[in-house]
Amino acid sequence: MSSIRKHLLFNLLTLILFSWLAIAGFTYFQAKHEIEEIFDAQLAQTAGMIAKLTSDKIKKKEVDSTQLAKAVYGHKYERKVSFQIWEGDQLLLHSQSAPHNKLSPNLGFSDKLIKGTTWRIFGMQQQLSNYTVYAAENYEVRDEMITYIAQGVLIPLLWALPLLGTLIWLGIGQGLLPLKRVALEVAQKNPQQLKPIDNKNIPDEVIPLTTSLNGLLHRLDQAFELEKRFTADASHELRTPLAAIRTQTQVALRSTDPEEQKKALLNIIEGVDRSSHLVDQMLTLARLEPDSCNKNFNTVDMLILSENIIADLVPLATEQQIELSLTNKTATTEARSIKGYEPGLAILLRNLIDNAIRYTPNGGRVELTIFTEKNNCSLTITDSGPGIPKDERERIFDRFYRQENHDNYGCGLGLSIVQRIVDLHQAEIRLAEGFNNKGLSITLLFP
Amino acid sequence: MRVLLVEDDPLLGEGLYTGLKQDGYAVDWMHDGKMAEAALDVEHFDILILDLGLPKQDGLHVVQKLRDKGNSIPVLILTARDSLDDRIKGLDVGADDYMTKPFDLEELNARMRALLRRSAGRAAPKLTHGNLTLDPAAHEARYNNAILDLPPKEYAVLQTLLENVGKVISKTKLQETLYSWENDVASNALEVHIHHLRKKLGSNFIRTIRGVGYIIEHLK
Repeated sequence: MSSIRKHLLFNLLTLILFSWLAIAGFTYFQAKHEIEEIFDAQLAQTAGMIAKLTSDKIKKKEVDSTQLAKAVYGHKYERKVSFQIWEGDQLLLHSQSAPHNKLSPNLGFSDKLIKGTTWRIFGMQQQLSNYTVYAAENYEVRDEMITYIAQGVLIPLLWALPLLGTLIWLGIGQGLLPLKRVALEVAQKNPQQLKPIDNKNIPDEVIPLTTSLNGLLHRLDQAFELEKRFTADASHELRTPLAAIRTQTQVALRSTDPEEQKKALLNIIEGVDRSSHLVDQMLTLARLEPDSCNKNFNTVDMLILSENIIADLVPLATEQQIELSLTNKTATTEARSIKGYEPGLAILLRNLIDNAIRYTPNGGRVELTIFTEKNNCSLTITDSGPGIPKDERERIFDRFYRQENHDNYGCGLGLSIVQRIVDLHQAEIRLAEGFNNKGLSITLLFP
Repeated sequence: MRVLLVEDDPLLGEGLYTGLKQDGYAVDWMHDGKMAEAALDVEHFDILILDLGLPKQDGLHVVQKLRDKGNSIPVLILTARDSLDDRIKGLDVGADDYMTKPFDLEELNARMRALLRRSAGRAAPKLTHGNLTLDPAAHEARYNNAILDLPPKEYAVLQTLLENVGKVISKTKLQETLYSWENDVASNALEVHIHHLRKKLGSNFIRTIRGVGYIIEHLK
């Protein structure tokens, strides 16, 4: 059952029903026992009284059964009670409802089936005379009594159960109203409306739910904000290369000079290449989502990874006459291994080394060092390039940031990607001066 | 017409530079805001085409400073920033028109013509003087209802003079109309263009004011 209300109602009603039935059962047996005792005592007393009251009169022959027979039944229960007085084997006196043979062969309490119904019989010996007195009572009397008592307990339940059910149903509904309100509030949320749910008037039991919902809403809001800003930035950044492609195309179409046309067409290709580079970078950035990457964390040997990347970049370095080198200061594989997302780490190192090579003038050098700091694997990329002024160092990780006085090779996303990967690994990135207090050194500290 | 183009993107700048030259403008291309300011301080331009996201000095600042100095040159902003806010801000600091990237070269041209027309104090798209009609949009001149065969440079000289009927235009100004400062100009090139124009329009159409420049006088 998925509804709390139905579930609670069902459970509560079942519980009430069973406890009531248990009480009724207990009451029934208790009452039966007590009634039997009372009726038995009454029967014994009746027998005693009859014996006492009638013994003299029987002797004097003042009463006999014919007299008694004339008596009309005064009460409906009279048919169900009877007595006999015997003297030896002679029936001296008996009530009309009594049979003519002995009610019971023995004295004391006994049960006997007479004309299809069971009777309770008490027999006693008159001590002074020689009479035996039997008093009997049909069990129907007691049974009827017990049934009345049992009904008295059970019938109110039949009335009370639906009434209780209705009250419980309404009560639970009332109790669940705050939940309904929360549900309504959540239903009204949309990407444009992610304000937290007000914890006022919300019961203590629901507050953990709203608190964690608010946390989720906050994270969602941030994610949407990021997404929105990214889309805005991206479309903004794509506009300039698109404008360039369009303009160059129009130039080519209008031109009658074959040289000019060819140049414009080559420019169009360059514009398309630049746009695709930008799109690639944006996709890389978008794919580096924490959820998808954290699942793919493995142990990565940073030395092997670095060797592979340096090998890829050697041609670029050679082209610019830059000395590219790798230094390993760690002793064991464990010391230079980290838990991480290998494709991300590869992009991280490639971006940083590629940048260092591109920003370093011909004849300079770029060095990658692997070492341990405080037992953690760390990497430093040092170059002999122009460096970055201290006040600009924080901004270089901003999306689409481009350093001034530099040719427009990149789209300004490379270092944002680096930052994202560093964040994914909860690593730390530090910028400092490079070789001879010039250039740049970037240190990555992995946890 | 002399245009100052300020655009930091090399590909787009190159395209605009060539495209505007194809339309007969004399174009100077600057890559950042500071260089643009320096050029505006020392040279005369007829129109300024300006990107906003420029290195060193933002485009909006360039416009603001320009207007603070009392320079009324027509300014057309070309930018990737397309929010309403940005457009309003751009126009409010003193730009005359606003186009978002990517744009159409022909539309840019039409807007430039409109701005140049307004800055010359005209509303009609065509320039008329007696039997001569100049259509800047079509780059076409008609004299006595016949199309005149005018090369771009001669056309530019004629347009400048026609936009300033009754005023003497100095040789330097006319030369600036024809060439951006990167081009070397032969000192007698202007005289050659004037000579050709006189052959097509009659020797009295353009008068020489010796030592000063040239004038097309009001019709009597």
